[in-house]
Amino acid sequence: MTLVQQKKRVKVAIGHDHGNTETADYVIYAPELPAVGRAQPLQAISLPPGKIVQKTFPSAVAEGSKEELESLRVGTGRMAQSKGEELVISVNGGPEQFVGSLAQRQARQAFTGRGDIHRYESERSLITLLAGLGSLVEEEEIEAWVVTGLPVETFQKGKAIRRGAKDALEGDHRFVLNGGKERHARIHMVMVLMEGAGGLIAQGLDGDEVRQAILDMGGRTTDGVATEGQDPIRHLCGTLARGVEDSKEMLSRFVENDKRYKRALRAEETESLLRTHIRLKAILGLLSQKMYHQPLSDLTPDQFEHVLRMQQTNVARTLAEQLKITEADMRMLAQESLLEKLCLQDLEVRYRTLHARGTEILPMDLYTWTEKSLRSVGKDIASFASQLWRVGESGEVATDNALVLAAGGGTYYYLEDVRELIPEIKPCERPEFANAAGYANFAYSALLEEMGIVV
Amino acid sequence: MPRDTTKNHYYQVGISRKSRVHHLVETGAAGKTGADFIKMLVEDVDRLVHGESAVVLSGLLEAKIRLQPFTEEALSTKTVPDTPEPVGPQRAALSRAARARRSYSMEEDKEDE
Repeated sequence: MTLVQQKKRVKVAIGHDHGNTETADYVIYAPELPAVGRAQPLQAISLPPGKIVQKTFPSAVAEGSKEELESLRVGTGRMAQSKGEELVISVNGGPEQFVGSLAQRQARQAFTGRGDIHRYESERSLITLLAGLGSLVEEEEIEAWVVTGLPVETFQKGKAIRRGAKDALEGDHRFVLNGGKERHARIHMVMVLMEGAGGLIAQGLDGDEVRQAILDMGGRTTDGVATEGQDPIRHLCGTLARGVEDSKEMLSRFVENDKRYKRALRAEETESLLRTHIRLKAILGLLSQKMYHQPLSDLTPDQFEHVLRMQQTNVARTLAEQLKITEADMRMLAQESLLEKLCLQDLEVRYRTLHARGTEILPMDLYTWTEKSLRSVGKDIASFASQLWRVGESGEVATDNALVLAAGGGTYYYLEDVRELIPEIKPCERPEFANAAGYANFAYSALLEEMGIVV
Repeated sequence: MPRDTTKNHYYQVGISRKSRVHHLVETGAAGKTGADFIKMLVEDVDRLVHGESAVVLSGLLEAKIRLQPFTEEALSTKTVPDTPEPVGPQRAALSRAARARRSYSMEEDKEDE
């Protein structure tokens, strides 16, 4: 990109899904307009959509400066250069802040605003928006049409709290990202939606009368939203205060309460264990089919232990050769388990090695506790969906919908629990981006209107 | 140092001997021998370094779909930049977004009354 292009003011629409754990930002650039004059107003359908970029990062924010970070690195002999994923931002002349994984790593107490109903009105909301926007869009002058969301319960508390969430972001802001040039963002707040509603916009059904629902499983909350067309049906929308963070805390407690280990796990350790667990479980399921011709859940404890030991003690090539596993098996497994990619090398996936008091925490213990932590929260989420969307007295759930979607990062962990009650539930493609993508399209619609384009 | 006999010793990246890509590089393609093929790739890199457009690499990228069925690596290795979002689903989402805007604006108006 040339310097001239970088200085150009750019118009974008952004969906900002500021979750308790992760923030997802989805940006759609304004379309290129034909250079020739026109008599008729332009139709959106006749224009190719603008460029799309997206990212997720941990919602953590903590005070810390680039200078401090670089001096730490010089001290440890590391390069004094910022890594790509690191975000250090100063907003409107304020102090520098670490955002995302950097805040989690470097600060003793990173703030995510968990459980704070007013976190959406705080300056931290603006910091995460500008960090996401600034790292996705390179131009120095940005004009952004923004849509964000609130948990259903918070949204339903009234217009004042939604106004507060808008006011925290609206207006002209200057920011410096990763020690670069000062940049300028003009934020137009288009709307605050219910979390989950974005997923139905992005991947729901068309039509004014079609009934559809979505279960958005996040870090601290799970939101259920049901709509007719895109019109929310208030009594079928609600929030459960349970999510992936609860599973992580439970997992940490299991390790801490065991007399062999007696130590709590750090946030990045539980995060890593959960991410590895879904891959490992998928692999063990495949091995179970190959070795015993039955699903993992039907194995006896001895059989399960044998499968796990075999997987943990053999390299991928040996497993593939002995059990005749092919790349095609792995691709099919990836599709079934929602994992984007799985290859033969994944056959030897391992939890990261963790120690407590000089003893290694056994993979068998980690598997058992992680599974318990996930299933416990998963059952709560399924029960919440059952209460919110029960149809009649027969115990059926959400059967009066043409489509039920699952969104949010929790989809990877809890879909199997919800499927027991709602077998038809369909995971969104890239569930962690579904809400942000819907918000971005909402904002894009407003941006096009501003440009005189008929949607 | 003992040579790894399972890998092609010409390349640091180590293309598996059994793969079809390895076969292409060893025996050649499109009427060229393997040595010609490598020479053309090197010339391509030279062109790119001098700001000119590559010939063989561009051709291979264009022919990627045709090569995919018989190149195992092509299925698991990303050789082109991320594909843009499909236009169809994007337009459908935009249409639902416009519908949602009408619904939510009406809700806001109701709350104002």
